[in-house]
Amino acid sequence: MSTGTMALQVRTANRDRKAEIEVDDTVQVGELLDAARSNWALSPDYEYIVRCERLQRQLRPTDSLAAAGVVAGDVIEIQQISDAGSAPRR
Amino acid sequence: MATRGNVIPFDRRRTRRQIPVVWRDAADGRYDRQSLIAWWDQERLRAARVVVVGAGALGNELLKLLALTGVGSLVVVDFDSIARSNLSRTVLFRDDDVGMPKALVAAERAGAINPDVRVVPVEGDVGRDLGLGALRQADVVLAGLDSVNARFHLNRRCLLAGVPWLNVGISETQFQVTRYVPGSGSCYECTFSEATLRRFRERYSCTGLMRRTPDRAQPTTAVTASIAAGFAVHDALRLLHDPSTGLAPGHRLTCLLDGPHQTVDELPRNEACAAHEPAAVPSLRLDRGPAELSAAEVARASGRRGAGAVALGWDLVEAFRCPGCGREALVGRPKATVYEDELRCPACGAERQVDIAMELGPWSPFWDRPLAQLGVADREILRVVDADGAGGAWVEIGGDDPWHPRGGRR
Repeated sequence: MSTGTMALQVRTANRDRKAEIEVDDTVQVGELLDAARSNWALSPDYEYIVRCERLQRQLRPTDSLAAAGVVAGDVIEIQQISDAGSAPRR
Repeated sequence: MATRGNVIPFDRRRTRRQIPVVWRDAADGRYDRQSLIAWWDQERLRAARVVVVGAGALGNELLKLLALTGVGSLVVVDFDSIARSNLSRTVLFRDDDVGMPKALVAAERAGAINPDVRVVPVEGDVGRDLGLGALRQADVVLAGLDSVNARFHLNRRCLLAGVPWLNVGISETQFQVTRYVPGSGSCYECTFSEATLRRFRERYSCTGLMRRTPDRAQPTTAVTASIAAGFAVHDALRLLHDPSTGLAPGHRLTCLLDGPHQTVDELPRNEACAAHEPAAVPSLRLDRGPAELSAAEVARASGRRGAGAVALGWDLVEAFRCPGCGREALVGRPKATVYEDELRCPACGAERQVDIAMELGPWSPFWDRPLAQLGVADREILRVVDADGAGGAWVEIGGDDPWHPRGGRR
């Protein structure tokens, strides 16, 4: 159920960047991620996901913040996906 | 001896004399130190079967640790050869190994670490070259891969085999370990985003054939690979002892080495995920392998009166047809091994059309062709599909078993 605008802290998982934001809880998780990538010029070479510190859960990009269970005061982290493993081929 | 109430004073000298504790002398067996851990069961590890997919930076470290801890049977799968740039992160490789197959060298060196451990190399692609029947026998799969595509195919294979897998990924100073368990929690494909799909599709042309894309050299170090592999093997050991310990299904550990920061998150399960299919449980096992069997023979041997086709589990490029000169060329190779530049007609230069089959039936030019010639692996499990499409059965074919190799396997 939508409760309107809420205040959140958004930060990168490596704690390089953080911001206090006010956002409508109907905004989608993916939209928040796009805004963070754009605002902080995060590297286009990596894929990122959004996680909620309190819920200890990765959030679905298509869910609204409200549907994802995010509430006012939550800390939202933008986390880089690590997908290297095998040494690069020639 | 003086007493106060019911309290009996502790008499150290008396206790030392009377409590019958016999401390075992420190022995010198290979596994004595780790066997002192309360939950450790060396016999369980000796009997365990683990597949390591990828023999690069992570694969080297995974194999090293699994061999040291005495995990009895290991299969390592990799299609690639060793490059000089691998040597800064690969503990099992040496300068003289450059150009050699990664799986072969890694298996030999990991086996030399511990003579109790048998390490069998499979030079090939995990999506096709390790038969599903062999994969089903594994207790767990550890993946040190470098592409979304390889992980996608491994996830599908593990779901079909009903085998849990650990996905390990590294970047500069961060690593992630995710435990996936068929039927429980999120699978790898459940969390595919638009961005993941874009990267997945980068490797394929519009016709679905492979593109020759340059590999992205990803920044990382032996340090990150080593720590990541340590966490992953620890989780595998917990899983082998008791699946209810360690990471929960569909949970990801992320560790940032600078800080350090560590999180464990539940991944969202997608109930509509296209990868969620029941495991392939064979109702029939054939002794003959893919070199001796055709799709027609598998269909006949299945005993199903309505057997109409055999599904390979992956796409087969059957033929190229040239709209320019009208020539047709039979191909008979897995789609994942055919590149888009092969579409150019050698006779007239026009771009040819491609015939792709997911099932082989009597209409196919490859119906009577030995399955090995089409790229079907030993111990594969094939789906025999009824002609009316209403039913079918899984049939496991024979061939070399990597868990019981006859004089090794290349």
